[in-house]
Amino acid sequence: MVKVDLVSAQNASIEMLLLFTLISIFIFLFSFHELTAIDHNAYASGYLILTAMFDAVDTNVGVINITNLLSFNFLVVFTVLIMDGITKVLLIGFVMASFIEVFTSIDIKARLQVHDIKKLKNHVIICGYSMFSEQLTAELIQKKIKFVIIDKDIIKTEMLKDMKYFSIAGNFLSEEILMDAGILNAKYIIFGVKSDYSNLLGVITAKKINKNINIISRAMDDAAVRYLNDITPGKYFIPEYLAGNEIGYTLLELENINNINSNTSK
Amino acid sequence: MKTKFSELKDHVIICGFGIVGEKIADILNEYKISFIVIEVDEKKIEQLKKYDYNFIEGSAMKSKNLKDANIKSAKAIAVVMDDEAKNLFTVITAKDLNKDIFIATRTNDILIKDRIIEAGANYVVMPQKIASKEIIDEIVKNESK
Repeated sequence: MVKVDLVSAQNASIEMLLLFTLISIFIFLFSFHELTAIDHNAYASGYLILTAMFDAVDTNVGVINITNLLSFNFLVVFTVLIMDGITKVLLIGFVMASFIEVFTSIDIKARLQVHDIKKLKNHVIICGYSMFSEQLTAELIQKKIKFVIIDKDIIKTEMLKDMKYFSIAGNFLSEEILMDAGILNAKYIIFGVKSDYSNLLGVITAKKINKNINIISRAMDDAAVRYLNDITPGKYFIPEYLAGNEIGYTLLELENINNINSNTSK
Repeated sequence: MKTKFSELKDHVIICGFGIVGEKIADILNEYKISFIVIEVDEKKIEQLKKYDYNFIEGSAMKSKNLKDANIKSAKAIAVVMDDEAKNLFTVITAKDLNKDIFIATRTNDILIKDRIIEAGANYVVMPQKIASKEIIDEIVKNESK
């Protein structure tokens, strides 16, 4: 997560520097146009703008000495001023980049969302965004039940934010993240990842923070269901088990229909 | 439970003995409906031997194994491996060998569901969807209390 934040901060810094460069070019071109319009030749206009942009105005090489442009003293002082200007630009760039990095690491958008999440009551927390969670969120939206999704993958959580869903990037085993998801006011917490170990630890953590929360968790086999039930009573399910039941009973129905048909035709 | 496969008629073929396949086998066994499991994994073969279920060791994608399972006389086939591609290939092969067979299968992807139906499946189950429906029912039930 930190890595991704740094990358976005760097991208933001590059964008800001590009913007800064564009503004400088625009100022240069605009000033050049204005100066040439008031009877300065192109060379003098370029010199005046450069000295102004690099803070050379009011120095002894300013407008007054413009006639001695090719003297040795002028070239030395002009080079020093250009170097001085470049140093200033680099310093400003560095300060701006640092400022942007700090600003983006705070992630105001996420902070604002956490503030909104904390206002929620009796909501559902979904830990892990998978195909199963995707189905689940679709059903929750249909039933108009509010939910918050926690997932480690920042790309997924950003995508969910774009879809106007409440989402938090982080590990659902972290108490801080669960608090951000409003676990104290939540009614249900659903663990849907394909790891009994993670789901088990999640159940323990959630129950430690909010004893009254209703636990729903996916399990990979019967043994996991037993372990989970030992920790706390809840609704534990194996999706594949439910699918097996569904197909099994459909086949039975098929058998029964055929039996009815063969009996009636006799 | 063991029977000569060529004598089987109106039986069910189960492709894959994972959680889904095992559950189907349990139900069919309970209601005394004859079935054959096609499985490639050695550990699961041991399990099948322990349960004394009819089985064929090999890939369900191979038409030879489906023919050995007497697919022409089978009533239904449950293609329930944990691999979308294998399931799709098996559905196509099964339909090719017996046009009248009832094909039930599973998928995790809603986009693939339509393709599997086009390939010949009669009934497609999505484990994730069933589970989410079950959870929502539980939540709604508690909300209305």
